[in-house]
Amino acid sequence: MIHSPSQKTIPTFFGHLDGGYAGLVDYMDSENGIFGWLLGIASPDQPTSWTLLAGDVVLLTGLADEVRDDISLALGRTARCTFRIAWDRVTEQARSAIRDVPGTDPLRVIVSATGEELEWSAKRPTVQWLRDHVFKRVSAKPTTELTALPVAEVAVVTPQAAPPSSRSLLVGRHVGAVRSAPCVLVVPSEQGAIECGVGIDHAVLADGCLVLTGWLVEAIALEARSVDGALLPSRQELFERVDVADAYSISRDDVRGFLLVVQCGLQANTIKLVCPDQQQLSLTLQLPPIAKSEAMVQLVKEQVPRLGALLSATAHSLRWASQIIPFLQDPPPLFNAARGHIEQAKAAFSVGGVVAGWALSVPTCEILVATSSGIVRFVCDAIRWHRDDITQAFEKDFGAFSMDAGFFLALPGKLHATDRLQLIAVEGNHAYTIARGDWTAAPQEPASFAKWAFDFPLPPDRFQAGLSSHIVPVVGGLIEARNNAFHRLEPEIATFGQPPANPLCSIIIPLYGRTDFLQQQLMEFSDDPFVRKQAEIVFVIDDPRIRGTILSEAAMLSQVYELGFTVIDGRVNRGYSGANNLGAKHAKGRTLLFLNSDVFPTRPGWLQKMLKPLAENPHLGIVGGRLLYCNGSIQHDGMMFEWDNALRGYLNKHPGSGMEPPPPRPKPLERIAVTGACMLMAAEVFAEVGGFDEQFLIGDFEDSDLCLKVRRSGREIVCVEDISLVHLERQSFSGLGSGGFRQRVVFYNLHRHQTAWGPTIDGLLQDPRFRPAA
Amino acid sequence: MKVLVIAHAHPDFSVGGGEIAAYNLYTTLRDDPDTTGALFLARSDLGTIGHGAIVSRRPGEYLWRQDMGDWFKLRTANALAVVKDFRAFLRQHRPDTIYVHHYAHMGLELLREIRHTLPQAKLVLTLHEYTAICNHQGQMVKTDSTKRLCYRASLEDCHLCFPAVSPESFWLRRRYIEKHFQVVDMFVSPSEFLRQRYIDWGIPADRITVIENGQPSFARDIPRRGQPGIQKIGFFGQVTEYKGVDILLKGLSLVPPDARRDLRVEIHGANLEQRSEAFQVLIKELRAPLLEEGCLRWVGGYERTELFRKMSQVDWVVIPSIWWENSPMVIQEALVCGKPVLAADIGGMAEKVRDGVTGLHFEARNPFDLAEKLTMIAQGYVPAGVEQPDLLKSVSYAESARLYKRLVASLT
Repeated sequence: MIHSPSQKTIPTFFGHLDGGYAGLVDYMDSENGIFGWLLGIASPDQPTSWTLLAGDVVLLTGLADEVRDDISLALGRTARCTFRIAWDRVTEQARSAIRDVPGTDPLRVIVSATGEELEWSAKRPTVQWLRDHVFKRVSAKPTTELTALPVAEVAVVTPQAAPPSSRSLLVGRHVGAVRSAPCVLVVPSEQGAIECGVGIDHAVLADGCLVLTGWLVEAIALEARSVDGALLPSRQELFERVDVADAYSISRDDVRGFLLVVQCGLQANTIKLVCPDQQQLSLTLQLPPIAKSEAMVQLVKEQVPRLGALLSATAHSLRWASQIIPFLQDPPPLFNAARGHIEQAKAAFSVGGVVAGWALSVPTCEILVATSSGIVRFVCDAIRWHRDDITQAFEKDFGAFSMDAGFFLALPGKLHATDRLQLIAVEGNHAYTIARGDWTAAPQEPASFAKWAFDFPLPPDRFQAGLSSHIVPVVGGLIEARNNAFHRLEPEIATFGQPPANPLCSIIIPLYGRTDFLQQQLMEFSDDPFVRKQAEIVFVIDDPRIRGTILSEAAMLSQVYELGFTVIDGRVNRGYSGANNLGAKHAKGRTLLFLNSDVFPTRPGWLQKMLKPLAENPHLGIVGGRLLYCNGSIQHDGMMFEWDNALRGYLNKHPGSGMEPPPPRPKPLERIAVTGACMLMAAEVFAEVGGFDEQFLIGDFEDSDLCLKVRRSGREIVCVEDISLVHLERQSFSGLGSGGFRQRVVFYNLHRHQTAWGPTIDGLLQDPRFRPAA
Repeated sequence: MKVLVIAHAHPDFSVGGGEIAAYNLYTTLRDDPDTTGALFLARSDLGTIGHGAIVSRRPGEYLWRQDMGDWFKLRTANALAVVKDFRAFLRQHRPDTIYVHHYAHMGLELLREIRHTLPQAKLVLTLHEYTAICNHQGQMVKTDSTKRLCYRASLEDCHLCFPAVSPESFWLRRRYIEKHFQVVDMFVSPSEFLRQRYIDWGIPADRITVIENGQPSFARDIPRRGQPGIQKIGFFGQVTEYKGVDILLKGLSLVPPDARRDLRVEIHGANLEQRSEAFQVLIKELRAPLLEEGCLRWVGGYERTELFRKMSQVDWVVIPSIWWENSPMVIQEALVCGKPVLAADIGGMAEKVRDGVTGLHFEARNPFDLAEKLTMIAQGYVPAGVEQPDLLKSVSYAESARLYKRLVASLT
């Protein structure tokens, strides 16, 4: 139902114009509910979640998800933004909760994610209005509530005098025709009775998940297949249907009700339904349109005795799960199949959250973590680890099943501030809420979030195995969100002295932590006539703490060394990739030399020697350089990949590291990759391959990743040996250390690198040019 | 020849060996007929001079307000004063020969500035200790409680002495110093021992030579007073942990009592009260019985003008330092006074005192060996050089200046 927006009122805007929300409550009445629209300004085609409050009490949450023509027209793109707040969805619990709210308090609609409130174009109704006009009327209607009837009671329901809903369609059967629910297909016996048959009462589709209810006569299973015959994932539950048996006068033992949940996907229009034990019972079912919430609620209410099955079969569907969860109840006193507790739950609302706690159950009983908005994940998919405290406490009751009780589980996706969490035990058809929890806000900074998340005592192998499901979605999302914010930040650029106007090369140096390197690099540069004349020196401040010192030193040092250079203040810590990408963006040189701030040339002429092969060989992508530790041994002479059994991935290695440098060869040598501490390439190639990957956590592998991207573009990589540069990297840091945060960061980054490049590296290592010497 | 002598202090305000040597080099060259102009520029910390400014002290002599910003890398506190005030000074006077005595308190940067502004000028740097080599106040003694002697600097060893400073930071320190030393034409060391230490560190042997600091001339006619038959042995200098007064007192108490009756050790030293409490307690415990016995006199500090008079009253001068020393002033002064020296057998002391000729060596840090040598002295031992005045002598100001002049002439 679409209503025109009010002519009088301007919509409410929240936040900033490229990332906030806009919306308006247009219309409301006691019959139909409240109508309006709400959209995310950056992504109007994505549904946005709203929450209705009476005073401060949450009544309802839902999605503004219907396309609205007038707004779409105004925006020039599809706007899925209309919402309708229907009264029949308000739970009994919420109704009783607002009894204590003052009647004069207004109703409020807020953006769930931010808590910002929408304006109303009509006069805003009060809580009293809700009590007088809405709840009274709803409660006066005959009840359709079926919440949590014990299963046993269903069996003693008196047979209905009237036939079930599908009775009237008995006569209209056409084998093979495309049908839609409700429908019935029966095979009559010679005596005119029913030999076998299938009746479909309801077919409700949401999120590609079709829920069918109905009955079977003389058949015990119903298979769902796609139009081309492939078996579709489905789950079936059978139960008694005395009403059908009595209505058709069939033995109660021959009739079974069924609940069938079919994952038919988002594209299908029809599916085939077949009884494998009664082949003549097969039909092609026209899928219903995507269901409205009312239809879903109706079905859920009817299936309350089977909520467990329904929930575990529809768990991946936000819409289904969110409709089912409000009907769950606490376990009965004697329920002893599962225990659990939510200890910590941190959410970064834009990207997802992580829930940690403990859970244990006996076999066949499953435990799920769910948010009230319908995000559900199975605890068996979580990263699990052994907890002595839980085993000691529950070993008596749970025996061997008290092991591995700890769980760490990510819930990726947009979360809502008003969401609550619960731990749900599903045992057969039963589902109970066994624990509840609330989100706390997680650090938005990826490394801080990772510090919290990596602090759980997850065994290394399980941490690795669970990375892609439970770490990457949240940490990766935070990195992406942070990078997007960083890209919008305008850097401050200061020029000192007079840098060359048309530089051959831009030397890009990110500065982090230490300020004393600046002077010593400038001192070395100032003694190199080629650098003075041909190179643009670009320092990128990647650490707001050192900004003041660097800028004042820069002003002084440019006078002392009579050297022109540029300082870009990135204003935030972007890490190796972000800082270098920022430097490259503002660099003027035709070539770019990425240089660490702790690399010091000790003889002039090094830059010329590195530029020469690049100028001579058009197939060359990157030129690296030999680097020495401060004790004179090799720090880098080209990079190699080495398989690590423990980490299950390739690590970047520096062959010959720590050894005495072999005599330098005058000709540059082809290498598989080179270090990012000193890396030269054409600005054009850098742009073509997209620069450094900014999705690594804190930093690692960005250089090899860039090298592999350049290789993929068909270019080669060499290392120049007859130059003299010292890299003050600590030799002691080349190992991974014994664990802790740093090791987890390596796991994280290695996973990203391995996923992108594992097979490529496998291939490169077969290349005789790069095979390590025996 | 237009000469500029730069020193880390002006003798008007400070009387250390380095600044006195520098000032005397200046006055001697100023009065030399070959010199067309001579300037003396001394660093000063006078509050009345603006930071970085160069002001006239008297004709030909200037004071430069400079300070250290970073003792680790020996960086100046005021680099802009080097490229502004000091550059203007150089451009105005355009000396062709520049002698720099020391860089402490001024910073190394002036060396590169001289080379930058006056590329043709001859630049000579006189080294007065091991500061460039060793971050431990240039002592080349380990920082731990044993105060072991250090034989050679390395990034790892220096890091072990200063665990908070990484080997990489020591590389940066060394590189910074090296970059400034690169522009120096010739280094001068007052001792061969110090020269060798700098050669080991990295200065090419042909770029560093030895010229002893000049000493004033002194009439040796002050009569030696006191009890005949008693050997008076004088310690002159600061009473610090590195000067070995504790070794001297231990050695003295180990001398057999009958020999000790013929000895009188005098401590002409000040500033004990500024030392660590443990050191003060040690000295006080060691000296109490000796003072009571009468073989030790704790004289205390002295004015520089009193030195030669006081020194002429002793029979021996003792230098028991536990660190290497360079070319200790006290040895040169003893030579001026014609006194033999009882010296620890290491570093600059061993070099400047010829064992059995101009004095006597004892094993450094070994009070037992020192006791033996003190016993020899009590028994009337006299080294050969005491009777030969040409052996017991030092280099004069004029001689030292002549050597500097000859050195510069040899530079192409």
